[in-house]
Amino acid sequence: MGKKKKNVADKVRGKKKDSVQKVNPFEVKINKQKHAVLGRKISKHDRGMPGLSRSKGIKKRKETLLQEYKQRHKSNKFVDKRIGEHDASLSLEEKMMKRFAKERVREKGNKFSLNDAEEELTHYGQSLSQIEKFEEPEISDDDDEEDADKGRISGSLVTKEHFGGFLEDSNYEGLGNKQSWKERMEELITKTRKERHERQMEKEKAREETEKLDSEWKDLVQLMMGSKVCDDISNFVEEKEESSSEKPKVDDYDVAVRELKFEMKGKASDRLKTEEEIAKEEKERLEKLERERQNRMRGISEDDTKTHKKVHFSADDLNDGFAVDDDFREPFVANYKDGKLDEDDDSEDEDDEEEEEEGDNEEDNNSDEDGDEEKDDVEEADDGNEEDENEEDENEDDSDDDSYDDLASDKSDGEEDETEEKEVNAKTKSTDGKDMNQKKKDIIEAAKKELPYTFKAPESYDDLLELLHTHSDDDQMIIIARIRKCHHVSLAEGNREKLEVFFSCLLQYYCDLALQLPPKLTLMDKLVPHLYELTQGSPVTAAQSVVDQITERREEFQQICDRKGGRGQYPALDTLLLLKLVVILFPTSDFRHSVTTPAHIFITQMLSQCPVRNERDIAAGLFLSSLCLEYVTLSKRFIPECTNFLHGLLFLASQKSKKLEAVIPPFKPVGKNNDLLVVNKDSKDISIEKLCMSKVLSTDLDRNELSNNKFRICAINTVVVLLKEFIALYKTLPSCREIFLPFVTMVKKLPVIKYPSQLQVSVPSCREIFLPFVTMVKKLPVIKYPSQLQVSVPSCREIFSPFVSMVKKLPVIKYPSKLQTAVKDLQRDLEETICQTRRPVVMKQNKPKPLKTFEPKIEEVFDDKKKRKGQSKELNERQKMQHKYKKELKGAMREIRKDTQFLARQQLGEQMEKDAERKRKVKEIYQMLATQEGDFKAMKRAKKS
Amino acid sequence: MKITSIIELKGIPENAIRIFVTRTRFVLEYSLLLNEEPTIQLACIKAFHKIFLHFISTEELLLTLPEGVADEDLTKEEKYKQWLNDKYSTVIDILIQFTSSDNKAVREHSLCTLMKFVQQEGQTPITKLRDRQVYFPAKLFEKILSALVSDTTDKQDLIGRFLEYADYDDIRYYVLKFLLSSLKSKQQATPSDVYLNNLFSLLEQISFPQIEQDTCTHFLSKCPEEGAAPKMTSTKEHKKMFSHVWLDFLRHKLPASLYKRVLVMLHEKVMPHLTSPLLLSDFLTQSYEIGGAISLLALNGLFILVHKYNLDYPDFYEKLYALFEPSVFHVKYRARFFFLADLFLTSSHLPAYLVAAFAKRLAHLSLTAPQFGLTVTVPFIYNLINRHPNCKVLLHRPNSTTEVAEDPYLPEEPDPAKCQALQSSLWELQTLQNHINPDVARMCQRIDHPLQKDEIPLQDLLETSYTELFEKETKKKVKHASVNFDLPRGLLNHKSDRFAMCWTLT
Repeated sequence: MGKKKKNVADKVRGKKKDSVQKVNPFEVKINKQKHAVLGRKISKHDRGMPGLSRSKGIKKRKETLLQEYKQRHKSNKFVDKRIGEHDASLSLEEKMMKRFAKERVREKGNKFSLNDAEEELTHYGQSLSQIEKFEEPEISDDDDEEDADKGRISGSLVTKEHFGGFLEDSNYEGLGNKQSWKERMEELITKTRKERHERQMEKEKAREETEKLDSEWKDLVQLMMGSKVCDDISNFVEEKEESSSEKPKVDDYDVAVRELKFEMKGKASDRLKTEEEIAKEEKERLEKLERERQNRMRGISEDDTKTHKKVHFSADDLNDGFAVDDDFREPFVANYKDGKLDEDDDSEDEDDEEEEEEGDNEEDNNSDEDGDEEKDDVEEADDGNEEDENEEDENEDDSDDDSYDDLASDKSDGEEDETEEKEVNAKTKSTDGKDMNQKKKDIIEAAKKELPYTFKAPESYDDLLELLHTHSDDDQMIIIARIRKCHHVSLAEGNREKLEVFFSCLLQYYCDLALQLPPKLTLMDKLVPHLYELTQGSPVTAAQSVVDQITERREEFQQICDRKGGRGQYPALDTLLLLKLVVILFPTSDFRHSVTTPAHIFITQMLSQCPVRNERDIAAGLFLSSLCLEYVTLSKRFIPECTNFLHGLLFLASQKSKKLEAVIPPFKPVGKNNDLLVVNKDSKDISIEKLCMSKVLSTDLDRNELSNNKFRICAINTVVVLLKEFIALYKTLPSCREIFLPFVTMVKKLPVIKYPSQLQVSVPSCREIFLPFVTMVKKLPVIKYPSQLQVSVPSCREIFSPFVSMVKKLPVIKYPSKLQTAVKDLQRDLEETICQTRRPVVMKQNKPKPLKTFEPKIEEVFDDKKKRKGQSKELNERQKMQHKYKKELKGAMREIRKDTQFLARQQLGEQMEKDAERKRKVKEIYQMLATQEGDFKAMKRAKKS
Repeated sequence: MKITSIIELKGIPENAIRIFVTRTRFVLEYSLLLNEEPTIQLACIKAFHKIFLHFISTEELLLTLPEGVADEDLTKEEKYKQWLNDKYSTVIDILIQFTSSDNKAVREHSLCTLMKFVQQEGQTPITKLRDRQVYFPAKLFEKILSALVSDTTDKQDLIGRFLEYADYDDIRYYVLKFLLSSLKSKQQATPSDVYLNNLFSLLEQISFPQIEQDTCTHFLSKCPEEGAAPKMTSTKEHKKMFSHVWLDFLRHKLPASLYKRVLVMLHEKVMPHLTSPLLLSDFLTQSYEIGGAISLLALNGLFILVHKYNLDYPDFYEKLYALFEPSVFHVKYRARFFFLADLFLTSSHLPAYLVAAFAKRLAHLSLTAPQFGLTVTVPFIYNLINRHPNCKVLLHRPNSTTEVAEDPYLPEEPDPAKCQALQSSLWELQTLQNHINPDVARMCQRIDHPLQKDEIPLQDLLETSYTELFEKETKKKVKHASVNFDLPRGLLNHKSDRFAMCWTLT
């Protein structure tokens, strides 16, 4: 064994010698860096050994390529199967060792070998190898330093157990017989563990007690200290008493002084705001909101506006996207704040808009203030409700009623009577007889008196229905208001969630009201403010539930579509009113909005996929078109589906000639429903009325109820009004001519003469608004405008152009004279829009690049990497892969080139060798010949001589 | 009593069939008498199926009579066989009658039974074969087919059952042969729509194997001997007949629905198997000139002819130009149309005026297109302009200072060369920058800046519909929702409300 160890040591020493390889300084080539840059990673290629790597390459080629080259004409192959022959990691010696070991193993398999098993060394009859396993004393892992030795096995144990216990003269053998060695060791371990545990427990106990004592001691000390002071004072007082025997009277003045001293100083309170200031604040708030809305409309997010503000190019800018610190910039930007920042591009445009907006805002303000006041009133009233007695409660209800009625009267122009009648009708319908009705009324009144003040927030729709279904409309409103009051967000945690659930239930209720017969529109009308305020409280969940409702309805619609081969059916009133609610709750002017965008997609889908089969379809389509108008009034966006639909309606109203008209699906040039809106007899006496939602849109309509001239005239009127609005909206669009051109011809075909005169009067107003605008546009020096506006003005004609032909075809003569003039005006409007001029499309010019300066570019955190510009992830990845591919390709080509070089060299060598051989042989032959010749001549000479 | 006997027939053991021969006669009469009761009819069919398959396979129907033998000379055995043969032909007649029954099960069962007879006869023929070793029972099969391709009743569903046999080479041969003669007979007269429908659905079934070989070997009947029936075994002959049948068929005036069906499958299932696809060029050019959906569908076949078979079609692009009309977005084959149109306009050798005309026309259409259409048209236009830098003037005309009173482009002009599209500009795209759909608006805003060089892949956009647009907007959970800031007072009457102009609540 000793010999072996020596060998190992030698090996180690030898290895060390090898590792300290001396590098030949002449072999190293250093790639010099021109500039040392801090923080740059030192590249791998800073130094290299070209000679070495070349020789390595050659060696490798000799092993692989050369072998192949030599084998190229051979079909047989010599395979080397020696152990470790192809393993480069093994040294020669190791290889030999392995082979030897393998050989030995084979030999071991020999049965008859006598000395195959190695002798096992034993001590006291045990093999030493096993004992060795427990040589290390067991040390617990969590012992502290202080009791490090405590954790150890006690000395007696050691003497007993270690080395088989031969250190002590104990009766070991007897013990060993009773228990196996393993058992004994386990026992030992458990014992030591137990001990340790006990020790720990003791320590813990001691610590606790000392802590307890400590705290007690502290209390005691405090007490003592207090008593000492008290004692001192009392002593002092006693002494005084003794000396003066009279108590000092507390002076009022002193008291006052002390009081003043400790009195809280009055804080400066905010000045009460004057009304103007409040109004101003309100105005500013609204303006801010309006500005945000405008931004959203253009699709600019807040982050964008922020970043956008930073973009200011100094003359010294490098145009490398690098800007000086924000703090430094701030005061500079402040000058530009009033929205005039992008003056260079479209300032005038903005200005115009702003003026308009301001006007709007002022109006808004007024109205909003009114609204707020009213809201306050309502709230006060509600507060009062909570406090007042039951009887008063009823009065309050009445007052509430009144206010709502007022509102209703605003809208419905004295159609109250009708509504009341309707309600009464509904009631009578719902109950069977008059007696029942009376009974029910009694019950309702009783319930009214018992209306509780607090309600549990409904957790499901059924709960809500249970709460509401027995009560009258007004009571329902009160209940809803109270639920909202009771669960105001500020009152308790979790109220927000409750209100969110409440909102979704209320929304469901709103939709279901529309499905009742007759639809309870007034109640829905009253529900709207509540829904609105609930939305304000938690916009996101409200949006989600509205989206869910819309999705559900759209899926239904889609199913119908799929069943009927892509043709839909106009939905019931609930869907229509749900979409109307969207306009009220959410801003439709946003560029992209999680509720309104799906909503208008749904609307357009219905408009473009539902064929018009009857009057109800026309009404529903008109409802959706008015919705479209409302969606885009602020943003002035273009909805082709809607104009298509209106065009189609004009087509339905026009008198068809034999020539087929170009109409856009879902309308067909030929069909039985194409005369739905043609006024078939002179109806100048018919008065024009607004369409009534509950009548026109209900699904259980009698087919023939609407197929009269009155409905037709009303529908045509609606179409004309909508069209005028759309024209006003779209006249700024570049191709409004193309859009509305078909309408013109259609309008011309309307039988206007049959229309009532009301229609004739209503339109000129629109025309007057429209006319100056057109002339104004022509006067304005267009070139001064920013490019966007320039192009936007002149080309609305494309949009309008299809309308022109359609309008011309309307059988106007049959219409009442009012409608007649309206139609004529529309026609004139259309033709005027078509006469606008426009400029060709020009791309925005890129800003000229500023000259570069020598201002240093400073990066706060410099990491020496080329920054890829903010491209999409996909593009970046693509570039990376391309780079990698290029690198790999280059490497592969280099390798191939080197291979061919190597082969050429090899072939050259072979050729040279061959040549040399040949030369040598030739020389040899010559030599031989020369000697022969020499011999021959010598012989000749010898003969001669 | 009679009915029970029929029902018993269902479970006849094979060896006892002879005993039932008398009953067969009985059943025959019965089935002819009681034609209305479907259950009985079904039972009869099953009985026939069992009995006669047995007879055919045991060659009991095989009757070999030398020529000119009088009836009196026949042996008893021969008489029996003759009688059986008689019965067999009446059974076939009955079954063929059944194929036009009102009951679906009866129809299908009778057809299946007949086809089983054909199959069995193909293995063990019932007549003595001549030197030409063709085993196929051509006469029986012809009878069946003439029943199927009926003049009066629509049998398309029944023909659909044929599909399982359509693979066999001999079936294909005889079907083609039959159709050829049938069409020949109708050449002068105008056949009924029902007849054409039936014929087409039969013709539709015919398919050629994927891997084509010169000779056919996949037979329903016993394989004919080598060189026995050269026409039947050569694929070339099959194709020749196939071409003839198709050409004859297309010569007739087809009803509109059938026309579409034909055009949809023509380029995929028919063209590759014709001897010369150019034979279809007349038909295709005619249908291309019809306009509407039909020319849309003819486009595909025509393209293959132009592309692969060197068809020279001078007015191709003019016709294509005419196909771009507002209804194109609402047709069923919209995706296919735009795919093909993109394919046709890929070439960079097209003249600039042509491409500009297409771009302008598409833009013009976009003004009335539904949202999902715009997701295709706008990238389409971009791609066109990208491929043809000359057309960039449509988007960028920097040097003109004059305003244009009217669009120089003539939308009504049918000839793309004369429509002056190159003098125009794409104001339509500018208009669409204000489109309500945010994606469309964004896409159109690209024209304000120099266009990106790379093509926009259209494949994913072709099939977009309202559903996809809607799902794209709603699939994400709402994380942020801005709300209105002016308090409503009810359904109507709020700030931006235009409803009150036309609507009242009650």
